[in-house]
Amino acid sequence: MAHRRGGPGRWDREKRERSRSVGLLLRRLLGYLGNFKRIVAVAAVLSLIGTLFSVIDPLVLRWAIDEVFGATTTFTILLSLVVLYLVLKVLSWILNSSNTWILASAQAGLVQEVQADVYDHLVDADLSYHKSEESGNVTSRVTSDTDALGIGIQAIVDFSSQILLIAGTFVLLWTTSPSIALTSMVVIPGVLFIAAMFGTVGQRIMLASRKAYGRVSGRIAEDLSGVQIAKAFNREDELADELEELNEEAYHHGFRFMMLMSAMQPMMRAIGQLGVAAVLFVGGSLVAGTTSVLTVGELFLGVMLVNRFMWPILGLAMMATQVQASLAAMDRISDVLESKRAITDSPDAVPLKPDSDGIRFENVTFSYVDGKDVLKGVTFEIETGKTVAVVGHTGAGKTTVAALINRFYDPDTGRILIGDQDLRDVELDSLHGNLSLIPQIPYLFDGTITENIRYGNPEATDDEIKEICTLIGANEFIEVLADGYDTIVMENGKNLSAGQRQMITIARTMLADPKILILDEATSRLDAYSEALVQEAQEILFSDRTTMVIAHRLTTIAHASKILVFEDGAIVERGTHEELLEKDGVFRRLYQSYYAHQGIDKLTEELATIAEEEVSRCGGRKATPAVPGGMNPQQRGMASILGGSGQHTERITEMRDQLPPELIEEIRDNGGQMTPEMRERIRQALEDGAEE
Amino acid sequence: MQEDNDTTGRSSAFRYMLGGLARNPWVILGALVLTVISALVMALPNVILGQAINILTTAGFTTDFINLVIEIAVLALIYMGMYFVVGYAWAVVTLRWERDARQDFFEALQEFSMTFHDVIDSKRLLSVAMQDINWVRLSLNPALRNLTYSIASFGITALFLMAYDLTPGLTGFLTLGGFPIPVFTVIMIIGTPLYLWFAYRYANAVEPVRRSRSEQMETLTSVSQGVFRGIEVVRAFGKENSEKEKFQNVSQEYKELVTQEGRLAAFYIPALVLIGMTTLAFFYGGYAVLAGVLDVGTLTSVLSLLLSLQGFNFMLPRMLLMLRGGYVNAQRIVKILNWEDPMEEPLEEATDVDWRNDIVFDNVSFKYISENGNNDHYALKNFSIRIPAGSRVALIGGPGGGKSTVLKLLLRLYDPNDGQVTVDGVDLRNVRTSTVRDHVGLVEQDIFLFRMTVKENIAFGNTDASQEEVVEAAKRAQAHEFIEELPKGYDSMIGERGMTLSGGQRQRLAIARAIIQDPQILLLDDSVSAVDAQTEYKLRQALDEVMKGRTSVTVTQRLRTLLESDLVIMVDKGELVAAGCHEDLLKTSKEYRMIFEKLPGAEAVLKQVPVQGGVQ
Repeated sequence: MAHRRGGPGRWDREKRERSRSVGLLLRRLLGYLGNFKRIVAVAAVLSLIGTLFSVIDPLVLRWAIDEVFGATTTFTILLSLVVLYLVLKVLSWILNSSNTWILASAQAGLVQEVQADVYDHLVDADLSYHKSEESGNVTSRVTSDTDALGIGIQAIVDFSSQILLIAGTFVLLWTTSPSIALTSMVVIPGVLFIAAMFGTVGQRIMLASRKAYGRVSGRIAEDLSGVQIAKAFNREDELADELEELNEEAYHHGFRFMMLMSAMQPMMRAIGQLGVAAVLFVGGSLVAGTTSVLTVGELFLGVMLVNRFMWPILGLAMMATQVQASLAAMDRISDVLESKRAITDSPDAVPLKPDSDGIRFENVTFSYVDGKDVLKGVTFEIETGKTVAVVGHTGAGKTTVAALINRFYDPDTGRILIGDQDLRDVELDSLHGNLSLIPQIPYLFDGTITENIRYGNPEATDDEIKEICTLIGANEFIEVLADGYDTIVMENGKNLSAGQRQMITIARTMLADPKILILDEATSRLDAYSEALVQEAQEILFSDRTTMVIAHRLTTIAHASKILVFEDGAIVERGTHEELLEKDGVFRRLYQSYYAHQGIDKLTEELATIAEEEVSRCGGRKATPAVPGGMNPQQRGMASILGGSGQHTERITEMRDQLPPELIEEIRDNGGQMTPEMRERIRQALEDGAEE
Repeated sequence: MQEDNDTTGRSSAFRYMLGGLARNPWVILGALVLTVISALVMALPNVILGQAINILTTAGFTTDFINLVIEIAVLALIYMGMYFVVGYAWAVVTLRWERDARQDFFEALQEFSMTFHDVIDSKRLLSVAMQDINWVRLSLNPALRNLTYSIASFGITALFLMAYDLTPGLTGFLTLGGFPIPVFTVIMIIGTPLYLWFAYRYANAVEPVRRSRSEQMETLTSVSQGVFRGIEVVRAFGKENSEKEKFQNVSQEYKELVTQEGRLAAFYIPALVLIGMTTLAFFYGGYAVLAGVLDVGTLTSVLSLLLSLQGFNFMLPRMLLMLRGGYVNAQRIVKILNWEDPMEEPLEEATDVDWRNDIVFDNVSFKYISENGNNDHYALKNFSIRIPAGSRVALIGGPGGGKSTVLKLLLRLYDPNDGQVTVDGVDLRNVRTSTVRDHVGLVEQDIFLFRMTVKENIAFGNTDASQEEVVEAAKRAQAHEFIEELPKGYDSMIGERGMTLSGGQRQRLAIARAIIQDPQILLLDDSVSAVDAQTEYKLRQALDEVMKGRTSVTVTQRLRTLLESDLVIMVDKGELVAAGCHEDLLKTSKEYRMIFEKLPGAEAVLKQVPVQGGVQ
């Protein structure tokens, strides 16, 4: 095989073995069918009667031919035979049509039911399922797999009528003349040969062709998303050449498949004709002779039936492939149906109490994979209204903490409380209504920018959305976009910069107005200037909210009332920024590696060396994707989320010190409303400080 | 949209479709002739059957009879060979067309300016490139191929039946007012068009349903994909139930369409027409035999000819549908290919531009084109600046301020709506885009790497680069060390398992790519980089290296870069706010001072700079 480039391994991966027994899968499939029992039963009866009629109608022709041939008959008899023929034909047309009509809704209904079932399961499936599969694959569980099921159902329903057609026809042939019946069987090997060829070689060619086609598609997709780079480097021609190679290969495979397809039809027809010749020969010898054992009508019947006999056999053989494909689809769907469900409300779950606030971890241990604890006995508390910063290397467990607070997972041991309520006893809806997470990697849905922001709060008016955006400094760039707030976000925001995407997710969360806020490096993709605006807005809107920040910038660390330093899933240091720096421990090294270097001073080799040591001390985790729970950083080519531009801590504290405490209180008391007058006072205070 | 370019759009979609056949007219003509002959060859056995039965009833099981049986068998083989050739010819012509159409389409997409790619979703482009072109091909082969065969079969059957009408006994068997009625002929002449007309009507009825069905499928796919990709967001906002409801609505609608399409297939009228035709022929023929004017052999021929047409009941409507659908697909393709690109290449290119000379933005205004065409927000407005030859320029400003637009105009990814961008006094509009991009290089913000080896990605800037040159560039970009540590070094494939590169590493690869390209003007979009100190250190070394000896424009928020630049340009809302060196700007520009205040570590610098007039 010239085209086995991928090596033998590729085949095995594609043709995954079914993991469940045929019986189980069929039962499950028929289980869905069970909801349409009555319709299917009616359809089956109709189909059987219809088939019976179409088996009989050639018989009428035979009678007529024999009648007229002997010229012994009358016009009336001929007329009644013609009418009988017409009635049979029309009846079978009506029956078959009704059958199709009825089954159409049952089949579509079944597919829809499976779709909804699979979809619901997927939405509720444990996050680990989604992490382990690509979203494209997950989607095809809902779309193409359910479609394959529909085709399989059709095949199973057709199966009985095809069998009846073959059996009925053969019985008819046999009663007419056993010799003709036997002769007609000469077509069977030919038909089986074609079916077998199709099932083996054909399948292989088709698979190879589909793969080659997939490679072309993949290449075009990639080239289109990188078109700006291709243009920037003048590489359009080379990319076109590379595509041409793949295209040529796809043509080659497509051609083979096409030839097979175009060969099948003439072969079937030719085999049918050969069958006719054989029946004619055998039948002829029986008709002739002194002791004629066959009439001309019967001979005609034999000739007619050969063709009728042949196509259902081919159909049956082909059906096997279809049923197989749909069983494979059912198998994949079963994976979903049996997958671990995400956490659901316990029976005695209650809503989060209005006065429940503040987060407490009590000796929490957690692992994604058994035996590999990501968090080890973590205990900490975020008091109501306070901001706590979490720092640590990639893989230290920071994002896991955020995921646990959202109850995407439950801890293996220990417990997590909000106020005095264990998360396990809180209704998920109310939990998620009160708490918001801004994830590391912004995700935007297809739709307008307004729709994306409104996701946080469906009741929000356009004005409120604009207000939020103005506050965080997003309004400026949104207004300049081609269609402003109505700009369609495509492909997770290819028309936006990473920072802009992040701004939109921030606006979304701020609009949701949660009681508790979790920021997982939520501003890592913003430039420092925009980040300052966001932080200002956060200060205004959320200054009194309980906040956990996975920190990547020094400003947040300095703002926090407490810093938790994570290493290898445990908290190794905790305290305020100043306390920790004085300690000269883990935090100080982290600080020097990640936070200190983007200030005004020239970055020295010494600082770089410290960072190198620190990073390699932690096993060079940088290269591995975040935590198992983290989204695939390759996705948008933004693997680096760690660290951030830092600042000299003294400056920050200085700055805060310069603000009169009563002013800060005033802002907080005002519940977010910062008047221009206050802003002016802040600026004044800062400038006074600077001039001293 | 489809209305305004009605005539041209239609004719060109039609031409596009037939373009595949028109390229090899003789092959297709030959195939058509062969198609007709093979339809004849396939119909003949029905006629021979009648003759054989006649011989059988008159002379018995003679050699003549046996010869006829052999004839049938031989015809079957001839047919098989012949129709195989037909299939081959069609396959070659149409599949080659498909291959080339896809290639041409892709190349056309690449040629379009960035405006095109901004406006049109690449998912749609991909599906046109793959599915739509495929469907056009399907509409030619098998649809058109099978249709010609079906029509030929109907025609040949009609001819045979007409011939039977002319047999001595049958002429004048039935007369109307002394005028003989050729009944078989009448059956065929009325029946065939009726059959085809109903089949066409069926295809017409199904087509819109089929189309909304596939559109609904697209919606269904994108709805579920969106939710699964953003499942964390869905969960975090507790939206599971509303998403389920949304999906339920979409999938219910899909179900309705599937049902509708399935039901249309029931009560297929053409089948009824054929039943009528057969019954009539049966009645008339039987009566004629009874009257002794027709032999029983001919009757069986007539019946079996008509019965074999039944085989088309299933195929014909599907093929008509495909043909119709293919036309719609061709329209979609042609519409994209006919997209009018606002950017035109100069007919005659300005030569000898000194790319090391000054870059000037002269009163440039630019806005992005929106899909509905009513964008009145300028991304850049009356923007003028002179960038002296060989300088290091820093470009700063808020999001949406116009920074990246400046870079894109310099790369001539777009042309300004007003004003001009010149290098060495030459308007970039007078230079071919490929020439511009030979001399202007880019290190973009979200580094895009292709699924190729590391080496190929670096050599993307210059395909002819040798291994040594690639390594040299990687070394200068501080990338050599980590590349060596990759599983297969320079031959590691980007995007494969275990090949997750950090942001800093990707950026250094992109710098190496730019070093290999060696442009006279270098554009860097370096607005965000959150990396550890060591990476940062290396990155800065790499940047210093790549900026040597060329004019560079860097979008940045890095304090250090601002300090080290020869010229800082500040833009806001598409307008130039301030330009000058860092020290001057601090003194003269209120806005710059404001932005600078927000930057990390700026306090220290601000303290040293006394405020001059204009700033409070």
